[in-house]
Amino acid sequence: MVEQNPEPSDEIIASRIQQGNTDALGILIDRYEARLKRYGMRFLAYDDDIEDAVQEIFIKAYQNIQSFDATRKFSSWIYRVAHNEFVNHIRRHARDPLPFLDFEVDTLIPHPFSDDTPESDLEKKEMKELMDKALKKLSPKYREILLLFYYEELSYEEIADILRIPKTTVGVRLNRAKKEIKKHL
Amino acid sequence: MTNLKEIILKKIHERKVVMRPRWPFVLRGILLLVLAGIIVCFALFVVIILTASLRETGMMHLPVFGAPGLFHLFINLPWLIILGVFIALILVEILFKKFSFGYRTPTLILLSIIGVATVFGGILLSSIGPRDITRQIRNNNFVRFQMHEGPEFIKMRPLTHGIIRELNASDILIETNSETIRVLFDNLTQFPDGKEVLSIGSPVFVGGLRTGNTVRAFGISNEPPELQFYRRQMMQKK
Repeated sequence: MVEQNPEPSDEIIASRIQQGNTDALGILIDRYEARLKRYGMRFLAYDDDIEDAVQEIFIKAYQNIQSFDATRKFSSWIYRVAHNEFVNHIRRHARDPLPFLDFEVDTLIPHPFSDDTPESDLEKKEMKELMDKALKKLSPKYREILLLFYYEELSYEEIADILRIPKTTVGVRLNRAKKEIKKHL
Repeated sequence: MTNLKEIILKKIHERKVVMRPRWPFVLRGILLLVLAGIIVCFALFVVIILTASLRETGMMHLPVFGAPGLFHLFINLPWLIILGVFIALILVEILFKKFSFGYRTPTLILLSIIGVATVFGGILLSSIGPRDITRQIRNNNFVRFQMHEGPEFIKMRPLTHGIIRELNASDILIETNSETIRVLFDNLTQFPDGKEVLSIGSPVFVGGLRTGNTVRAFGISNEPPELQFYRRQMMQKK
């Protein structure tokens, strides 16, 4: 039996792009287009311009690919690019005011412990149903963390990398977001 | 091929979208490190001055009088300068957060390491450095440093040191560099080196708040050697 070569990881593909293989970007677009569109549509809470926003994310990712550290996770990096793009998008459209500096006390002095609790699949499913009903009513800060955790199913580590907040703060913010969304139901 | 993929790759092939070279990212990282280094050096410099000044004025010796000494040292610390150092360190962290192309840094750990290294480095350097750092800096006009200096500041300090010229049951008269002060003591006054320090001609270090030319002492001890050194210098100048 001939063993099939596993598909190259995102990081390997990103390294190829860094070395000049621009067509390899197509593979990453295939892998991330749908995910970023889904993330963007829910984060921005409206779906106009989402095509343009996602296109802009891939263009920025290509332009700045030399800043990517191939020893780290590509998904965190591209989501970080997406986060910046969506935040700029929100600021430009001014439908939801955001602070000028994406910097808060809890990002500087992290919580010593995250008060998260492990959730069962059923709880996660229930949470997703709740989110579908009330997500648009939440502030972008809470909306985004719920999206990254429940829809994108990213780990605390990855979310911490994307939002540039300590890992313990991810847990605390996630809990606050859950309490917040329940108020809107 | 999806529409989006086609559009993006077309733009790249037509060179409407160009990949940025690596060097600007590396340069930005280096500049960030240099800037952070400058800020940390500045913080270190301030801590050196601060600890040297506390040592040279005798403030650092206040804790020998226990809780009252510690309390007065604490409230007399130059908090604005400490706040300035803290803000400088936060600035480093914000710069790293906003401009570094790396990933998340463990903020608290990083700040703690820089903060602790700065404080202990400053204390160490000021203790092995030349004596009288603050005076030398002031005399060279390198920086005008009013902290704990000048006659008004000296009067506000919760400490006095000098030689006992008169000894009574509940007070002593001490001669400092520039004046004679009456020091009152009672049962609550602490004597960490014993009451033997109270003898005419002996140099003493007094912790206590001043009203006019009288000090109500919360502690009296031997005069630390470095303060004797400065007093001798002042006497010689006179």
